[in-house]
Amino acid sequence: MTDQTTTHAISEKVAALRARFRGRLATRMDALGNAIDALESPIDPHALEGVVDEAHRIRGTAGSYGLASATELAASVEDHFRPLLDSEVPIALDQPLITELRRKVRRMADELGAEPDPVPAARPEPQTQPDAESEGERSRSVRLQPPLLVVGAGQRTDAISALGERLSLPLVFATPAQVGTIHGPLWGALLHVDGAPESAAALTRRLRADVAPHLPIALVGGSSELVRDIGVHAGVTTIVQEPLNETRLREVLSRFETARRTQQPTVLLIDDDPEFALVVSDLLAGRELRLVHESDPRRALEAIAEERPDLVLLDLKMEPIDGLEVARRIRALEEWRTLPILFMTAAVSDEVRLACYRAGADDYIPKPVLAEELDARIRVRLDRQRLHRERADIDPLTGLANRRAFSERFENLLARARDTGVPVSLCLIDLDHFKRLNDEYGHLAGDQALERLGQLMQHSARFEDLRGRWGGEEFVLALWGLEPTVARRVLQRILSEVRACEMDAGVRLSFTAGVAGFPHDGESLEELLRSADARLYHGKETGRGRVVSEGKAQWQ
Amino acid sequence: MAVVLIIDDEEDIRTIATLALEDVGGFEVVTAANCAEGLQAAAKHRPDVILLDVMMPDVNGLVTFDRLQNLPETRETPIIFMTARVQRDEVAELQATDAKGVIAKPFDPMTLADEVTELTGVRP
Repeated sequence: MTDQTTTHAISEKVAALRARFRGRLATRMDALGNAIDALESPIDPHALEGVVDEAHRIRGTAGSYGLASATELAASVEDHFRPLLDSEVPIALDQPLITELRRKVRRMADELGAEPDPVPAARPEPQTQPDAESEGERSRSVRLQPPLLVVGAGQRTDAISALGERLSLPLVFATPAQVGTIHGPLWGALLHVDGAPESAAALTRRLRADVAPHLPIALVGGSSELVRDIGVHAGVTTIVQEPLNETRLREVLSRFETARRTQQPTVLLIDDDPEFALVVSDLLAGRELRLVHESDPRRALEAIAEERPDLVLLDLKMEPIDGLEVARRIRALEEWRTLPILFMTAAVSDEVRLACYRAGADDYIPKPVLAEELDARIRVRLDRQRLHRERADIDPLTGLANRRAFSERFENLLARARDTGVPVSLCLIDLDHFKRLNDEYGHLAGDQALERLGQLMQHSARFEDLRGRWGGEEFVLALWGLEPTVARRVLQRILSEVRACEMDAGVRLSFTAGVAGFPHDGESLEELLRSADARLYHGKETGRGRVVSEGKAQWQ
Repeated sequence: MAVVLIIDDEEDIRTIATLALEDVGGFEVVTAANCAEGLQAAAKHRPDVILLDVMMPDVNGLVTFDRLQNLPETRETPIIFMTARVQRDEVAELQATDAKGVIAKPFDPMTLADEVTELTGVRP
């Protein structure tokens, strides 16, 4: 905080600024008085707008210099005239009231011009607070955010309320029983565990099912390993220890922010005209999309690699390479062959359109662009892309990502882990006695086993974790932010669920798994897989139905 | 040192807010008088927080907000609106954005910096 001397110096500076501002404000008040004078029935909308605008400016400015009475007067002028501006039918002027306002404005202009600054520059006490009379008029700052749901706070309610107040965080409190009655948007939820982690896990599933499928959720009271395992298993976003303090809550909020950001599809606009980029950004504002602009067409491929967009909007005419060339470069890369590309251009000849499609365009939008049309065309492409990707990425039997899709996503996860220093565990899971199952009970039983394990994996772990079928009876699971020893416990819970599965003909399932951690057991997918595979092999050798997370890393 | 970008068409507001954030608060301040200047300044100075006036001539604060959000340099920068009319309907409109909050004008120059920190968590 500032000490006495600095406070003094600041007060002097404010006083000096205010003295200069008073002179300018006197002139402006005078002009405002003239503008009110010039209003007559029927009202000229332009003149009226001038009055409202100037009153609005003075209102916001004067009080910031400690001249609260000027702000108050300007506010009454603005509040009187603004409704007239918004009205569709002409309104007659309330002459007596206007005369009164004008008189006040004139008097204020005179006072400001004549009086010396009432606050001496060299006063020892800080004197920069606005006049006391302004306190009622000033409103506190408001945070724009849906509330955070706090469940089961009990006796901690007061402490958490105080914390929420300090961070200006809107909070809604509920008991576990009240959770079903919550409506409206939520920023996220804090669930107090209180020695009953299983019910916190059940609440997590309920909130995700009833309120929002991707609602960020934190478990509070997660110091024990049991809580962490159950939490991760139920898919909570993060787990935080008690007591909840400012640092911990901030940490939770930043995890929530990251979780939210991964939800919206990304549209990359490649256009060398910044003006048009602004137009597109206006058109798409507030439409549940993340729009990213790249102005240098030569950087298109880098931008795509960085942003990994779900769709590209491409301007046709660009320098030094045009949109057709950019589209061809994108299509030349195996990974982006199915990325939707939409061209936008004012040129509409048949040859141009054909050239676009030949270069690999999916659609063509003539300029000028209509907001609804642009949005609709983007939506259609994104939906189709999602379906297409699902069909290409998902293993139909298990519903999990196939090997290629998993590898791609895992590479992204690894890149993020390298940037942030967060650990990642890669688990390789192999169904036990799968060959015998096929031989003795038929391939249908084998398929059924694969399907069940797929379903179980789908519903365990968190939505930012990755699951996939690696091939045959081998599955992969990547757990973000977890060391292998913790990942091992998550897997053991899945294993106990697998063992509890009721299969036809009394078949019992189990698996063996090997876990490897980034960065200690390997730095690439290949290295990690080799480490995990060695541990899996060790688990098979030593009796199956086990999860192995230790042993020499195999990649060195 | 954390940098705050102030976008406001009113010169007197830029002056007093600069004093409030620099001298009182210890932030570094960059100012801009309209949307276009604001976008340029944002790209150049990479501010840690942006204070944005709602009612500006030509391009207003809400449109400026969207443009800032679509600029790669400021996509994740916390933005606080400043407005002289904290009416319910206006707050509702601002609420539909991802802004961190609204600061009412007039503000108290002695506490403005604290409010910025409180709303965004960004310290000088």
